[in-house]
Amino acid sequence: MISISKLLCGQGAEGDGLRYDDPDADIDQIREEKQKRPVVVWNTTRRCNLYCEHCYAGADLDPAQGELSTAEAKGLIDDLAAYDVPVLLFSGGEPLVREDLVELVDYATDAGIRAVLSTNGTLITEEKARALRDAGLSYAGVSVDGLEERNDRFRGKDGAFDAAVRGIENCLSVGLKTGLRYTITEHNAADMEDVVDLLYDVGVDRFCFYHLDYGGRGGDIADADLDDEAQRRAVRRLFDMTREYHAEGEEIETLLVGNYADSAYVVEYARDELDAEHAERIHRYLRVNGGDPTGERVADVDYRGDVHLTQFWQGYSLGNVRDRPFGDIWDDESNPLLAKLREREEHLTGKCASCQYQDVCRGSSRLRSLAATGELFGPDPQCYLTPEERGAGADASPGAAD
Amino acid sequence: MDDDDPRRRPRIDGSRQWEVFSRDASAEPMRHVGSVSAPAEDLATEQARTLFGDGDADLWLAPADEFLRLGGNDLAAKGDAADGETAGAARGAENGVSVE
Repeated sequence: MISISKLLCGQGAEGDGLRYDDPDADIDQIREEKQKRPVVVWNTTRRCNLYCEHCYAGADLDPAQGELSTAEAKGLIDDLAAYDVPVLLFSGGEPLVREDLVELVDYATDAGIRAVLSTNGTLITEEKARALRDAGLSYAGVSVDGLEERNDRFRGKDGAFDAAVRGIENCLSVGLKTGLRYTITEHNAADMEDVVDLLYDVGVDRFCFYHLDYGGRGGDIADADLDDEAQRRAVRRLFDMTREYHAEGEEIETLLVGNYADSAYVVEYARDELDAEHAERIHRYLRVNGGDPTGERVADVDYRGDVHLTQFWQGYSLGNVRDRPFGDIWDDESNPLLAKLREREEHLTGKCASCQYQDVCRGSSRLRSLAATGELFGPDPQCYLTPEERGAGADASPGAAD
Repeated sequence: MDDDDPRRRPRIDGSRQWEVFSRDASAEPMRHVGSVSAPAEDLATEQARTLFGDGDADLWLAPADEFLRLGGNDLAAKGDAADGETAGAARGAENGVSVE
């Protein structure tokens, strides 16, 4: 997760302690100590009231076998608290279809874990928003993937856009911090800026933009992913838009997730549009951030207890929390997959092996490489950096971004 | 452990999941290292080799829905036992961080 507003505009945020080890938001202080425990995404259920084209969890309208019961969920939360997990992201499916959601959020916050929510927003009434706030929920991220027509087509249901906006308004009306989650694809890149403008007017000031990862149904629409030039345009527009908002005194928080080529690109952008000193400061921050967090700073537990490297790796697990506590699975570096990923710099091949930005990217998504080429350590097909930006020299390869 | 214990119920529906076991040398026991999901045996084998294969390590795959599990981490018992007494409450003040 790369905070564009912090890097380009110096805006601090609550999550900076995890992203940059800089909780006091003093832009000149950089600490080397990294986050020790992962943020855990928990897919509380596979059920969902929508059927989105890009769903990484392959969520469905029908109940799935093997969901953790309320008692088991509390046992899982106890295990996570004992392991000092800092944040638990309640996700799905759609977590609000679980009737015990408020009870479990309350249980997690009592156990000392910060509880946040990822939702499609359509089931959040004002009463539910108040109950979640009172249970200690810190943040609700609501997914909207375009303006009304495009969003509803993408999400498989007419009225989904209006229902999501109502859900956002209900959260904001009870004082629950709420932000946008937006997965950028070829279908909706054109709507990105209008959605930000619209939701800013509603009262949203936090905007997270996700690159498509190739897990679940996301893998089925990989051909809807942006090409290199379109990605550069979308990311650069986000940089410009963030600076424009801040220049007007409107301090929105903008974040990019899922493609760490963005780390390199924001340094290049700062060098062109700001100055070399600012660019170097951003580069130092991003080194502390550590690049792609797969298997290290983010983990996932699915609805039936399987542990994954991130929420997008649903097709591959490291074990199940019904067999061993989460911390035992996550700490087990005799597991060859975990061990290889935690020393991935030694294994990266192709253009990633010699890239000058490897320290802030770390090869980005291994899942996209696996899905596109069958290789775990091949180049991420979403890398849009030019040979010059990678430090490979102007004659290294033809084409804008290989 | 009775038949209602959630650890004994099938975990799978939809695509087939394969449990993966590995060992580096023939004198060692096989160890469970994770699982892969794939529509066919040959694809599951290829994925397991790519993800969990380490040099010449032996790999065994078995369909996850053929396993009967006994014992393990009894989450329900932990949840029932801790309900009402709030495990780990003292850690709350230490974890003043957030992320989506």
